[in-house]
Amino acid sequence: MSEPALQIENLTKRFGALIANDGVDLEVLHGELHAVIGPNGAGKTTLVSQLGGELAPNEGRIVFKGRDITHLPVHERALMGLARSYQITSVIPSFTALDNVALAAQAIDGHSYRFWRPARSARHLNDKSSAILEEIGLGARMNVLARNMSHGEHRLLEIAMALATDPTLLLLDEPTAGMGPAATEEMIGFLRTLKARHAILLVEHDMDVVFSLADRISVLVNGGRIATDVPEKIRTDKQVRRAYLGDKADTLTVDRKKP
Amino acid sequence: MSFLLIAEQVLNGVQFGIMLFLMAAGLTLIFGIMDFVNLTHGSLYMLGAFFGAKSLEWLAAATGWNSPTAQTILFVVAVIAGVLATVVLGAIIERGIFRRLYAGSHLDHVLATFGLLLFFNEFAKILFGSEPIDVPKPPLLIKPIEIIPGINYSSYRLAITAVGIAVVIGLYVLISRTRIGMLIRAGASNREMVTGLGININRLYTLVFALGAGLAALAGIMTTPLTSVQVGIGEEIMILTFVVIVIGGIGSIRGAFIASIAIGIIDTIGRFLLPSWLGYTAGPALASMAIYLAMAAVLFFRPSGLFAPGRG
Amino acid sequence: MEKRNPLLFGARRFDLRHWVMLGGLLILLIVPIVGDAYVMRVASRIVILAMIAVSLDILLGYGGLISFGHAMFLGSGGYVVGVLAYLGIQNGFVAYTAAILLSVVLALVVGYLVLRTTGVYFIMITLAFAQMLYYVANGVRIGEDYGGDEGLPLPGRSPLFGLLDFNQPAVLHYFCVAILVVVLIVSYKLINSRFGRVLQAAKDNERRVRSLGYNTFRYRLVAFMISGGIAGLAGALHMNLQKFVSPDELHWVISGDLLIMVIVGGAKSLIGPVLGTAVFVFLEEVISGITEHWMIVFGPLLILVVMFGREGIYGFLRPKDEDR
Repeated sequence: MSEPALQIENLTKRFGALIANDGVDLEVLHGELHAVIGPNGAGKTTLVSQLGGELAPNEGRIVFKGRDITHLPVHERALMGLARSYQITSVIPSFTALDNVALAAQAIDGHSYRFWRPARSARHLNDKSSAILEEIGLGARMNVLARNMSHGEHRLLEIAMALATDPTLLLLDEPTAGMGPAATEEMIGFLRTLKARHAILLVEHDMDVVFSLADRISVLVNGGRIATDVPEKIRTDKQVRRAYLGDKADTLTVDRKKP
Repeated sequence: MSFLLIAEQVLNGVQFGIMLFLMAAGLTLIFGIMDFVNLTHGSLYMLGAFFGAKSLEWLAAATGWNSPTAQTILFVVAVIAGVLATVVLGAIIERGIFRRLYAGSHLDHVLATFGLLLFFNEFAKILFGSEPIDVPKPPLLIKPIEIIPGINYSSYRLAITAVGIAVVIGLYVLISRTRIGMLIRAGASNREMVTGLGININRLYTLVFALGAGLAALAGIMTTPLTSVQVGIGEEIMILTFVVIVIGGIGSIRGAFIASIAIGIIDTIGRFLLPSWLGYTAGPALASMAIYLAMAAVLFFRPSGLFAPGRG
Repeated sequence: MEKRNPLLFGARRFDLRHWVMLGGLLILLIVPIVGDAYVMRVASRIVILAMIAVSLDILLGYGGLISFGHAMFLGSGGYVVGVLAYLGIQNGFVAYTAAILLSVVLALVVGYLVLRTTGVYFIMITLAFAQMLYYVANGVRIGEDYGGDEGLPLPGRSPLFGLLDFNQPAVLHYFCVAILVVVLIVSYKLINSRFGRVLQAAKDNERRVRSLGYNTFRYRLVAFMISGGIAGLAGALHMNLQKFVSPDELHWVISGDLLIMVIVGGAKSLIGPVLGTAVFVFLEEVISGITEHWMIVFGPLLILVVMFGREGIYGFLRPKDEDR
């Protein structure tokens, strides 16, 4: 498909005098993993919130699967196939991992105004959910309450929930935040399997993750997008290095050891 | 409908609104800063009124003064006594009970303060009796004053409105010009930061609560000559105060002020006009509907209130 | 994870809770036989109020919605029966159905406005709305002799299907017990259904549930309506029991009492609120017989329960190793 899954046009968000997003243009193609990077305060979180629907832009539009969703409420975007994971873990603590994912799967399984039959008796939802959890590596922890899981497991659960809604586009907000090196490696491996199955917009700080996975990288600085290109070009882009890293330029040149 | 009559009702409405504001200011600060749902605010209003009324009785009996001036002075002293007693009580319950509840959920707050409210109602009944107590207006303020040639208005109401406005100004100065006020404002938006600055947050909370208690008591005592003192007067005004805060936005003093005056006027005029328009023997009961309709309208368009300060 | 048994209300095995439930049911069943009229009246009242407490637990314990206005449905159910009686309609089926329907509509209207708010605002607004209805009930008179602060009488209890004559207290009592059992079963199914799953998830993390594709406002509104309908039915039964309804039943203190019943019994358990209601009404009857100032004791007691009693009576009864 040549039409982009997601098109962001001139997206602008102001908080009083502060311009958090300044006329951002961006697109994500079907099957592409498009990373968004930028120093702290660059406006990445604001961008994600607008895409998710929790913040309304002051200017610009968001076009998803050819449809203008700029003013579409949060829950309807999800039903259209736009799923997100949160930077600060946002799961259902009192549910088990399986129930968390089943809740997500249930959302696209018709309406939930069903008052009698137990939710847990929906075998197809359970099967789908356990399959996702197995694939992501949480198979053994399916029946553990989310509140009893570790931080790393939470990050995986976040993504599992997003996947259960059969999304066209995954909006991943720092999925490896707070994870140690081993866990990050596993996450990279898993995200690689997701590529091509879903369009992915990945917001990340961890450059290992970005450079191992991204098909294209966009760089945000002070609310504006200063570059979009393939990783090798971004790595050597002078403007990016100056704006982003200053004297830490070499972290952009670390080579990923492919498995 | 005579213009004079309406003007008088508007003035009454403003006066009521100022009293409402005294309640609302304290309550919105407590909500905004301590995130504490306080159902005992009405009890503090009631207890303030009782303490004031009893102080006046006691003072009148003890001194035997009966010149108009002397009796007016006693009244003022009684007001101060009542406020002080309630401030002390407020500080005690804050330190003794409420402090332990801040960490809990809003439901915990609601239930605990509800229990305390029930307790205070019984307590007041036992201590002061179930019969309403009538408090006379201070003699110097009984005769109406001519505010504009030819137009008379109750001088007592003018006096308490003046006191109320003085308090409003005082609060404004306190909140925006003093260090304590800055801490209060800071505490409203960022608790951790204030603690991190090394300020004793517990003392700040006690202070805010005591301030709220004092304001409630002041409103209670000053209103007593107009109504009477009995168990239960706190509840009704507290619910109205809730409506004020919902419309004005939690934590916003400015919002509370505007909403209080608006509601004070709407309620007073409503009580006055609606029964004659609607023609029932509905009386004041249905007149209150105007307030709730206003609240419903605000809720429909702006669920966080008209002036809610943006919380980070 | 061990298998949970739906027949045991989701527990793993028969434990102390079930003994208490069975014991309670037994007591309720034999009261008409061994007790006098007064005791039966109290027991029926417990059963009816327990229904409302259970409906409130759906909202509060499972939905996270702290409604301080639930008494409005106790009143709406009662007043529907009263007004219909005034209009000469004595048919029980019509009266009860109307009570439920009108309460559901009331819940729809109020909920639509109130559910836009959250947290502290929600508590205050439900309180204010309930109080508004109190004022309406207090102010509106029906005809010359009825309504207003005097309330509405019920000359005779509405018969159901012409078969059940509720003027015999025992019949009404057993009917109420049966309804309570039905309410408990329906509520249990509701909580564990797909609908219940969404509601419970939204209690924990509404934002997340919305981003998964659920219109949480609508789900909560439906929960509010279901809860209101159940409470309205209880209100109609209450009116039949007392043969009288007055604005006092709409007073916000009653809403507070209902919250107490749920919390003291144990929220998020359905059974807990039933126990809480029993304890509350029992204490009210007993202590107010001793002194009219029973609130002096009850008030501080409540504060202590809030400060120290984590999960109410139900929490005390359930096995400690069970996940919640």
